[in-house]
Amino acid sequence: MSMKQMRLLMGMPITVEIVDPAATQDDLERVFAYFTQIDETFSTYKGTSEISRLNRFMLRESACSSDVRTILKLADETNALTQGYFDIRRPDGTIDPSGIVKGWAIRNAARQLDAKGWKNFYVEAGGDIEVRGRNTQGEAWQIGIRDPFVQSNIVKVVHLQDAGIATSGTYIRGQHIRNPFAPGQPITDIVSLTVIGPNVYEADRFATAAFAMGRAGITFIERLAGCEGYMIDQSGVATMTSGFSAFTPRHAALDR
Amino acid sequence: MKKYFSSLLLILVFTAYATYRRMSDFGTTAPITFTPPSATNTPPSRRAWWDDDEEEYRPVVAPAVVPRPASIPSQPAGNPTAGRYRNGTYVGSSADAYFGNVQVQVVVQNGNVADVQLLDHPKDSSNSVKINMRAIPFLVQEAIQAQSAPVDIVSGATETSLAFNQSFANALAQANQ
Repeated sequence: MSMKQMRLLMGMPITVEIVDPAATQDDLERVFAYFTQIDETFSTYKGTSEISRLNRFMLRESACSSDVRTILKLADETNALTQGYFDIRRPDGTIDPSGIVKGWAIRNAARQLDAKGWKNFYVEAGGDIEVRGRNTQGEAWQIGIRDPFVQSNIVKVVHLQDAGIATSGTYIRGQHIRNPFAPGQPITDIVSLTVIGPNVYEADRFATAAFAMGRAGITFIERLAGCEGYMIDQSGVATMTSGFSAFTPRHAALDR
Repeated sequence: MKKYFSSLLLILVFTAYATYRRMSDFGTTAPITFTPPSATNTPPSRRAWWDDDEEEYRPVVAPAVVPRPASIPSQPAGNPTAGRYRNGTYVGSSADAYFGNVQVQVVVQNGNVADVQLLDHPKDSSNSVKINMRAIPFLVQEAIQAQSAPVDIVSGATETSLAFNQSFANALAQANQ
């Protein structure tokens, strides 16, 4: 019997499952407490968060916590790695680091469970996931990619063991990612882009940047060492990178 | 002397031309040509290029008092370990999303939310599959197809939606009664 629990934090469902039999409720509480603390620090909806105070010039960058300074540095680095397509600056001059905080926080939560010695678990927040080891059946974790047109369906199954996976899309909230080089132009030709990476932090930041590139995004992922991608366009056609099929069941079965 | 002068001139012209070519090549770099540094560029003591090892990770100790997140509309305060909800399966209200409605089913075990399923789903009328034959080197294309295999987790961008949260909050309110 594994420990599994889900809570609504940071405006999204967060699920933690630990398969290792000795895990306790305390391990889950610690992970949820970490996400609560991240929300208090980074939320753009909370006036008291450091990010909100930075945006209102009530806080200098040098006076920020080390978490915030780390994220600002990582955002700059990601901006350079993606030729400017990843950008936390909004057109009005304020910043919204949520495109990098989510994956980073999930990865940190997973590292917290690593430090406790747990080997088989996952941490999922709003559809982005970090997995370790095996599921309750002793197999690799089976992860479905959601159908962007029929939300209760999945269109692809991948098997992951120690990796991260993140999906960017426009399909419910409308356009929540914009192309920084054409802010007024909606990204309409692709609807979903999933990236598998060495961890969910890498997968999340590159999925966000590649989605902003539109159709060229999947080529960007193809050139990115250590990452594979699955892009779905408006007509329901998927384009995947050359190494993606190594994660699909037929290949995974051969490894067993 | 004239011979030396003309050879010098030739060298100068050639150098100027080569410099000009280098500069213009640099300027025409395609916008998306990111290549990660190869392993040979990395000193052997360093980890893989993606490991942000300058970033210092400190495990976070849970605060004594966990602040109640403002984003939860209907979660009651109380001892979290005791389990806050009545066991059972609850279906949330159907909430309006971008392409249609979203409705969730929540399973409560030992007083805690153990699982959430999407029941109602947005439908897009323009979902007619049309194969784009444009060839992309190294990339494989396929028409998407619904899968029936059971999965542990789902990756997607929908779950941050307001409609999901509304239906979820409604199901939790039922579990509270």
